[in-house]
Amino acid sequence: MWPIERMQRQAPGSVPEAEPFALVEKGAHGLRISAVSVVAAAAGVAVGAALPDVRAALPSLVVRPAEATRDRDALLALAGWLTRYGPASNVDGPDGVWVDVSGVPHLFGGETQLCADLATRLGRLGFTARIGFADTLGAAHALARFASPPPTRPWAIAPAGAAGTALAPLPVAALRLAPEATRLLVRLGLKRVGQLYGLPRSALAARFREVRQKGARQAADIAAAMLLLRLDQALGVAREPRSPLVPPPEALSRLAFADPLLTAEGVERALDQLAGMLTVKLADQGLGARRFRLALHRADGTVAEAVVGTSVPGRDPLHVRRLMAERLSALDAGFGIDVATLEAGRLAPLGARQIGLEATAEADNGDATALVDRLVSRLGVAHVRIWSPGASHIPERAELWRVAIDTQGEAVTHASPPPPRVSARRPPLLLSPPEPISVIAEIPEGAPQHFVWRRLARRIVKSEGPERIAPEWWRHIRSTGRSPGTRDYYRLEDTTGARYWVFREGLYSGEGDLPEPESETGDGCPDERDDAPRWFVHGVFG
Amino acid sequence: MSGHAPGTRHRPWPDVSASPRSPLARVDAWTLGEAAFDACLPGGGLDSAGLVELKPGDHGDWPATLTFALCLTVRRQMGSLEGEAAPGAPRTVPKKPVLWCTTPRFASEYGRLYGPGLAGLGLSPASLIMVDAPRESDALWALEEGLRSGGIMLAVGLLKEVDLTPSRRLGLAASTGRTPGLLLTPPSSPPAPSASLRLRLRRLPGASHPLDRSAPGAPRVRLTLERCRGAPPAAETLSLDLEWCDVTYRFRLVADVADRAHATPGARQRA
Repeated sequence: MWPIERMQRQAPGSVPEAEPFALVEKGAHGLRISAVSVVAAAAGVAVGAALPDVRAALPSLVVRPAEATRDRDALLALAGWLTRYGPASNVDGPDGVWVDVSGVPHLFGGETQLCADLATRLGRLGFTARIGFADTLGAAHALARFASPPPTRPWAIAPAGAAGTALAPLPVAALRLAPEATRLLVRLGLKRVGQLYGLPRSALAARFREVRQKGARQAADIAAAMLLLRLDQALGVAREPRSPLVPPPEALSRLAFADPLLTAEGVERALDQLAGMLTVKLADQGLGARRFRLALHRADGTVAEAVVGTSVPGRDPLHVRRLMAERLSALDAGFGIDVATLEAGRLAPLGARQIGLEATAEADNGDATALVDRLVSRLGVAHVRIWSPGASHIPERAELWRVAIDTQGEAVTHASPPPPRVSARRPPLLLSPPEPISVIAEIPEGAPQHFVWRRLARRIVKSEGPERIAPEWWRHIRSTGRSPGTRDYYRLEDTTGARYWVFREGLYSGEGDLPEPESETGDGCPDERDDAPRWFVHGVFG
Repeated sequence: MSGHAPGTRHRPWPDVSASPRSPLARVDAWTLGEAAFDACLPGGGLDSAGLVELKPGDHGDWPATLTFALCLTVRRQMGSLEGEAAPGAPRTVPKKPVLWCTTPRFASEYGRLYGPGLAGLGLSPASLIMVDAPRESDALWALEEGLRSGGIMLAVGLLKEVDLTPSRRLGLAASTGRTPGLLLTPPSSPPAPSASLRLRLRRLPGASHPLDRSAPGAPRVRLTLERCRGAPPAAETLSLDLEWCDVTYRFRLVADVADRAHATPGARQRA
């Protein structure tokens, strides 16, 4: 049903309502039916039949090619939507989804009400739902596909601990076995799941071997082991690992409201409560979090969310609240919020802290990280930066202003080591990029006496230099093919007392430069413009 | 420790107020290090829970003003450190960071702060929290948050103009958080109303290098006290020429003799 209903929903009108309709896919022996509509099923069209056979019996059948990829994508989206019922969900087979609703049904008033809610919502989306509700994934899978509830109440609920009773009347195919193993069981006369319960387990493997006869002892053993595993999984005896689509949050607090929240005050109060609940949970486990996500599930099925990060793990509800407060104004309550959740992510151990009698330096430092969090939360990650040294002697690469809250998960501290004292003076203010200047009265290999920067002529009275800084040729050779020139830095002071850090890139008369390939092919008239050294202001001193 | 005197036995708690690290002890002095200036200020130093406004004399004085602000930051860190560590102890990264709040306009005009250059002034760049606020109002907000939090040593803001309301808010935040704020405003903008101290800076021809007379030495500024709340009237016209010493990390008065450094460039070149 899923592929056809999916097609109808995505392209309304593509599925005829009156005529029998089926989807076909290419098989080893020509086209085969992969899905049938209700009308076609009533007319006797079966999934898996060859298309020519069906056509012969039912000439009015309308067929279309199946779109397996789109079906899969839509199913994934549906699994994501299902997280409104529980934190973990994923696709189950080609036409099913599962969701873990442990601890959730009471929010809907009970298991039956939850199933009814789910069926109604899916029905509104245009899907026919069959719901199995059980302790284990295996049992739920079996109930959803092989139980026969009335169409008005399309759910089968196995009460807690009673999966065995619920599964007993179902055919063995419900156990998620390979088709061959199912056929084998039927040949052995084991048609219902309940018949397997009392069988001695070792005898089952022996019977499998007997029936297979062909000496494929190993294959029979595997089939028997698989059968027993699936049975144990369905009954909850063996664990079954699940891989949810979205990893469930590591810590979560959730509030549901009888009346949808509409006002900002209501949301703030809910946030207070959620943060308090989450703090208790985290404190119990001795954990702190560096990421908090507030999700407001609106009444119309949409979700508004706000995420804040912190620079150090924490769980102070006041701090979370303050950070979130910056974001709350941007959230729209829409038609009202009926469920709000607060998740904590990127957890790290955080012990209890003794608060001293005196205001200690440590406590003050905590305030600074809280301040950074607030600044980042309001201004954005890119606008709050801290300094770290760079491993380069090229001035502009000797430092890095990096973001104060590391998004990769590394905690940023303010206690990085002080930078090494450079013997030569560096300006406290650096222009990036360096600004070109025109130098008047140039002396080769000397400091400029006059230069024009930003259209103002400046006469130099004091100078110091040069400090020669060679380029890092290994960086540039790949990108531009030639390395930039050597830089000679000068500290200059003009008549007014303003001080500049200027450099000349390149050397006069090409001395010391690598010979260019072109120059070897005879250069009668070397281009002065390209080789001439250029001057830049790179920084200003106070 | 000798035995308890009978009278002190039943005193349950140590006297916290007498502890050297208690807030009552004067550990957060903020001075320029030059007695001629510090003595003119009420309390013998800059207000460590108020606003100080710095104004350049003209737009060409901006680099000097920014550098002066950086030197004042160093002085602030020194003042906080002297209470904890003995003078002469190795300088460590100060525990509290400094909030430096700017708008993109300033960076394109006068350059960005450069770590190795700050280290040359004696300021550890790792102790700065650099806020590059997209709008003026964001910068004001960040300053106010920083001052109020009490978690920083100093908040420095480069602002276009500070109106009455933001100025009052910043002043209130500074006194709430017991944190000083340093406001750098353009030369011609109206003064910030709630600043307890307003200084105007003009650059002067710098000193010569002690070892090489043709090389630039310590930078010099002329500092004019334009406003000082609670200062004697004589201080209102105070104007001093100061230079920064990057060995002792303090300001000092310019010696009169040194003023002649560039007066006769021709003679110097021949020498």
